[in-house]
Amino acid sequence: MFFHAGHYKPPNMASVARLPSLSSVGGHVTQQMLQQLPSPAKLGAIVTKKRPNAFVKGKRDSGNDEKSVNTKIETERYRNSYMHNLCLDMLKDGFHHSFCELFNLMKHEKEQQQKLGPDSGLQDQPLVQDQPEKLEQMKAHLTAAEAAKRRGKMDVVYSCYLTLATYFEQSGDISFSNHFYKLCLEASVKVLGDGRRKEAEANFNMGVTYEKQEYYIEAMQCFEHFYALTNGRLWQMEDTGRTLFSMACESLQNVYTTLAMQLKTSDPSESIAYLLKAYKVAKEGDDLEGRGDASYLLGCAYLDNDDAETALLYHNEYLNVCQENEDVTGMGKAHRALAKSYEKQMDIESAVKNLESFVELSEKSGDFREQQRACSAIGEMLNTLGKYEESAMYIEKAYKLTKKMQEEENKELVRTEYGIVIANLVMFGLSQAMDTTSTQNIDKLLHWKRSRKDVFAASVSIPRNFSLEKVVDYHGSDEDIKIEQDPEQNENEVIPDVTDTEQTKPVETAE
Amino acid sequence: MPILGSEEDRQHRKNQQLIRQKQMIELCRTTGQKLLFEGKYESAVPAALAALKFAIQVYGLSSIELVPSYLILGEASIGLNKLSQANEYLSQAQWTVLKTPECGNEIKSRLYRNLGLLEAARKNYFDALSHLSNDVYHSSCAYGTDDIQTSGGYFHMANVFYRQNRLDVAFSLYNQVIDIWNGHLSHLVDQRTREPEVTTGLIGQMISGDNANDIDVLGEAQEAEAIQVLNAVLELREQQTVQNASIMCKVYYTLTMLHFILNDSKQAEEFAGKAKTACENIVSGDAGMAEKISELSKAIEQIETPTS
Repeated sequence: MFFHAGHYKPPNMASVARLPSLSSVGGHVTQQMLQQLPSPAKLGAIVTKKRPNAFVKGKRDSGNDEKSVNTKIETERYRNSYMHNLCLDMLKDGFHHSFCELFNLMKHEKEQQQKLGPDSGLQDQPLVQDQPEKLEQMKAHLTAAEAAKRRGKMDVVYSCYLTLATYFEQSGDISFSNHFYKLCLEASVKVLGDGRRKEAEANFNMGVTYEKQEYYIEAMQCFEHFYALTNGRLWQMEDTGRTLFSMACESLQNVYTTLAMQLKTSDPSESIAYLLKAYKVAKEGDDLEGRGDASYLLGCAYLDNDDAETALLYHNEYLNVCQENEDVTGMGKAHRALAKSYEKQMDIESAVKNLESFVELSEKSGDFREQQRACSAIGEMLNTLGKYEESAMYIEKAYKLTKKMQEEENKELVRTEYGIVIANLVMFGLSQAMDTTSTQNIDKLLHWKRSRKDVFAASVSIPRNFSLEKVVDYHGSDEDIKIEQDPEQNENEVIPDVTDTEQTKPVETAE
Repeated sequence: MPILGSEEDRQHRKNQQLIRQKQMIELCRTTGQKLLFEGKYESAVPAALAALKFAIQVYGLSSIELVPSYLILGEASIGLNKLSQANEYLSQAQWTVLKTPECGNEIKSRLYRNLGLLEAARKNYFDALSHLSNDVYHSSCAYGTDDIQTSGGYFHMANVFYRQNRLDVAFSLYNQVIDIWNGHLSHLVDQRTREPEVTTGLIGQMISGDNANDIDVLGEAQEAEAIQVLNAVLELREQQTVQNASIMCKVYYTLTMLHFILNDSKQAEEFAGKAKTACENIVSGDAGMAEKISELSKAIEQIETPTS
């Protein structure tokens, strides 16, 4: 029923010009105000004055009226935020895609920050929308890109996005650079006439960004594209002259390797699958070192998987690669790995042979650490084989090296090993003397009992300062005498070792 | 004759009145808006006036709630070429907005749209673009850059650029408008075709209450806007001597969807046919599009059969 009262049909246009009085509404005061309301006196006066002009010619209308509008817009600009004005400028010039891009990015950033909450520590970081410099950069390149897009010059679009992506990468706004790399990729697909080189490059860039953020699967996909696109092409980097294809191989290998390492414990077979892929691409690339690394890792993986035979294959390849490269350290590594594989295959002889070359090579390389490792490794091996004299020789060497390196922890470890080996040696001699009775042996035994000095193996010089006696004491008596060569020595570490060798010893001597 | 009731009674009646008034405001505004989109400016005026009257009753004179009515009045005046009149209304609206700092982006957007239209009608294209930019900005703040609410701003900007003879920009904007509508309508069509009981039954406005919950409906004003905008773009596109098949296809397809949602199967079929031919003319081919068109055609047939 109210509607009927208000359903007022204007008889002509004049009724539009002035709001009809709403007689049925409100009290006296309201009535008065209502009459004033629709057309404020001042403004109405201005407008009616200008009105004839306005209809004669649009352009002429400029006079006062336009000025007032302009100043209105001007004053508004003071009130608006920088970002707001920037958006308005873009839109006004017709760059609506740029506007959408920028606006949504800002919105996304803000939402992201809010989502993470005040505890994230991001709250204090300034938003890009409050950084005029970055906004200007974005505006400049986005609008350039949009203009180029309209003209169909996709390569310009691509380079614009690329500039932005690198710009934000340098300024540390990773999500932004990421976004622009994505746009690069989209634009690059449409670049024609360069045999898809731009697409390949965009894929590479995208892959690198993904890799940096540890999205390895995505990175892998990008690199695979890159690889497929560069395969068989002779494109080169302008500055280094390196072919893109070799870069593809290298980056793809890296990603595969990383993925394989991630899966190492959870899914060994998948891990090996990745390593195989890495090996395959490494072989195609011209980088020998990469190929070597791939085969070494693959060998290690197979070894962990108890497939020593295949492991040998790849370790041998690694050795060959290192030989080609004259990489002494690498060769040493290869020999050690080979030795491990042989050991697993119970082919002790080959293992020892490899270890010996490992020692030799490590001496050549002059790296003390490697040398010590080599000596220790071969010493341990020989110890288990029951060749105590040789073992003692190597371990001694290792011990001396640790002294040179001044690494306390390692030194203690090697020292203990040394003790074990020498104890084994004496024990071996003693039991032999006991077994075969002869006057000579009885003499030796008596001498031993008297002096507790080694007389069984003359070939090995046992340093007097080394507390052999304590070790020997331990072997001589049944009681658990503490080894007191060093108060800091960890007993737990030593005692099981000793008993271990003691347990295995009779078996070996029996053989 | 009702006698003066108790205090409670009166309170109740007052509340009832208030609710009715608010409903009336809503109804009048929507009607006004719809009439505007249909180009019936003269009839939009009384509706807007009625809305204004109720709004004054409910909210008082300086409330922001009066602004939508002013805006409709302003737009109607522009349509009737009463530009100074429009300026008055819009100035009033702008003043109210200015005095209300907490005024929402939605209203600001509509205000700037009307200001833009006014300037465009005065052929002050530069100012018109400034206002329309503001419209798009505020609308994007309120709804997002790719909402149908924002598309109106793009459309008007496109018109201004078109009149300035900056055709590349204009068509780029028209494309965006079409894209936005395309996205929105696809969403609506998806909702309808996914549920079989809806595709066979009632569609659009006539959906009963319980179904309306999971289906978005195109409002009356939006419907009118869609028809106006899409047809305008189509007309412009068809006028062009060189036509891009894929764009034409998209326009036709969007119109097909619109008529499908409006339950106008005859028109929908017609546009579906045009879309199909356009789709076949795309040089590089577009399998996804062709599939979508044929799917939609099937859905159209489905709504046709039960009625005929």
